Amino acid sequence: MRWGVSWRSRGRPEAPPIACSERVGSALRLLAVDEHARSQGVRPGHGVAEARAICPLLDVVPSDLAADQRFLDAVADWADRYTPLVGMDRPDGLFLDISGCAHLFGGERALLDDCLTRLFHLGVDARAAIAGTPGLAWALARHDSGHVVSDMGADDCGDIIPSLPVAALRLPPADVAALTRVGLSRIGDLIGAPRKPLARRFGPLLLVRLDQMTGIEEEPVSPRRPVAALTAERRLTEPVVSREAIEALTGQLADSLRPSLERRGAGARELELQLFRVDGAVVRIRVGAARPLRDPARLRGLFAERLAAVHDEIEAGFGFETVRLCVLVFEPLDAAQADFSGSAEADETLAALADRLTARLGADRVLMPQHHASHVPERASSLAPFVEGGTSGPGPAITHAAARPVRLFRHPEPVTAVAEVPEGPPVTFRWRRSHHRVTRAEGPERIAAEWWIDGEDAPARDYYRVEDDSGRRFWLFREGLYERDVATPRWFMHGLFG
Amino acid sequence: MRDTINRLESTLPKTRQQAMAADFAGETQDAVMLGLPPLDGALGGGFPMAGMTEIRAAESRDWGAACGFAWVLAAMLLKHQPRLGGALVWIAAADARAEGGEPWMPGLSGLAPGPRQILIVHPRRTADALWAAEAAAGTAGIGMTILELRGNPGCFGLTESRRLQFRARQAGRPLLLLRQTGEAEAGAAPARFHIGAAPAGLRRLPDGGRLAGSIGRPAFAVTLEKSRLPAPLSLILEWNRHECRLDIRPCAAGHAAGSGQPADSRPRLSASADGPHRADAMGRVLALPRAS
Repeated sequence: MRWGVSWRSRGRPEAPPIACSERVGSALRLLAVDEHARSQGVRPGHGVAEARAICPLLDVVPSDLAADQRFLDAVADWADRYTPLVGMDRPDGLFLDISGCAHLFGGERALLDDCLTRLFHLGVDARAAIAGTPGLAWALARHDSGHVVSDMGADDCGDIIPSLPVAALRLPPADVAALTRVGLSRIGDLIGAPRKPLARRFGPLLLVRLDQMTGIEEEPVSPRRPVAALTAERRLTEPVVSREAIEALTGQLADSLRPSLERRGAGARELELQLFRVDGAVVRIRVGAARPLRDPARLRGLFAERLAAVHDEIEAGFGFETVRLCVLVFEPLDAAQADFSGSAEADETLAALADRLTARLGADRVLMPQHHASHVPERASSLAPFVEGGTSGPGPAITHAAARPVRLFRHPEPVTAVAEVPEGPPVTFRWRRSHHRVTRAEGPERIAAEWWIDGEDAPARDYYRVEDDSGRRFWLFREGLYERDVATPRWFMHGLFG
Repeated sequence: MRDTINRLESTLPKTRQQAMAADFAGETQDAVMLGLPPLDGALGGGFPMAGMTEIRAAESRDWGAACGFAWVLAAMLLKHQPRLGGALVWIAAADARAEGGEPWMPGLSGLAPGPRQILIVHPRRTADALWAAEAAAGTAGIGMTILELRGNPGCFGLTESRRLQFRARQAGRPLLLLRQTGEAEAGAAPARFHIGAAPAGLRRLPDGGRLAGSIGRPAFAVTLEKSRLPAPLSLILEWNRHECRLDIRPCAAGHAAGSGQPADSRPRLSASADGPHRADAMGRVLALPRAS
């Protein structure tokens, strides 16, 4: 059963009343009902059988709480357009900290109207309010939607709070019921009452909630995702779809970020491009740089590579209406002076190339070799993502005389080998279904396992460098020793020599 | 009709000739003498510094030799042209790595000294590898690019090959195309080497003799398949790490195991030959009466 997202703005299709059920204890109860069902007298909390008796046509759907939470996350993503500080109020609410953001939308009232209108056209029946404290905003949104209380000290505020029901205090249902039972149904009944008996009887939470609503106690909104250090955004009257247009916009945004970065003497290390689609979906594209960057052309180039890589996965739909560029991480950027050999420049171009490759291929595919103090060949050298200034060259000159192969198999490949004497080098061996006759061999070079990693029972390896009759040189090893280990030693191919 | 043909010929090949002239112009501007007269001559006065050079191994068993030769070549170019020392980009395709192992730095640096910085790229697809190679070849400050491919992928045709050659020639840097188990196919690279394995030399002893049965200097069976010469040129080259150069091994002593006089020559067991207690051949010919 799909009605599409716009049925709220276009009108409800001809359908029976609908409700969501949830299992509470051993009974099926209604969790939510639509307006149609509500008009027939069905309420949340009714048992399914009872509701069916009231309204026989009722269509009961099992609730999907995970999907509800995903939807709330999507709305929170969408709400990033108003403020970077979006906090979750599960299961059904969002807190937006709009301090310092409202003027961008033409004031608080305009912001609220814009938000509610857009949500309505997205097919969401939302209620919202603006107030000086999260507590009051929560209460107003649920009991008096559309309200804007901009100044907490005004008389207006003094009128509103006492008239709200105690259910607006974000208290557990049992506490609300206890308060109502003793006749305290409005917040006004509580404000004037002595605090000590209230705390003794109803617990400290009641007073905390009351103070949070009136602003005596501070309540921070914890943002859902880390707040970007710097942000530049562009709202478009005509949505953009094409990659070129997005790239051009990114360049403009990077240009407008440059003065702020220059003032801080910093360059961006991690950036995120947020694309707000017309229908509310948000696409985030993140790129990292190997060294701090400030140059708009380079930033634009990075995003161009990334967009080229992911553009097929992005569904532009009817286009993106807001484009935002955030600097997530920045680092001090010192203008480097090139030395006479121009090697600073060379380093810079290598970092630029690494950035381009990383943006297109991913960080795990642009690597630099790193050396470790280990005898075990697999651990002697590893690959790590490229970072500026990391050690990457061939490393210290080889100190031991033993030769090492130029290609190493990540997993040694088993071979069947025949040796003249058990501890000797192989005479013939069979690798990948082809037969090799060994003409010369050097070895063994015994490499013991690292007991602090592999455990004490790990077998040692005897490495041989062998050459077959056509001159190919291989690195073979026998795992396990005849005199010591119980299992029969096996032969493996581990590398190819140049 | 003859006029038409002449007219067509006068327009078409001109562009091709120009392109070829440009190909060779870029190549002769800047070349490094490898110290191997036959090879330098065949390459037109030294190894081209600008442009693409293909190195292929026919079988994946010879892959080690091909990689070793490419690295040795890189070290020689680096010695003669220190400006290449900045960085090397090694683009290793996934299938080539799975079949032939990873390029391993301890072994490579043991074979020959390398550049200051190395960037290893693991592209997901061949198209990504080509893109990365083009980006690396076109970036100033990248000394050399090694592009490793397996076989003859369909998406790397003459057009793509020309494009890479163009880009490398413009940047004035070498680009080595390492092809694993690749067939000889027409490409834009002016030179193509076929690398096979060759028996290594024997280790030298302090008294000037050779140690029998030892594996000494690595050797490569190099065939210059495509060059200005009409016929391919085959050489066996031995790598001398200390002097950073390749030596031509005389063809007569092609089998290194037999070359030189071993210092500690041991009496070898005589090979078993037609001795008196040889096993009989299977079956005997008997004069059985014909059963007619």
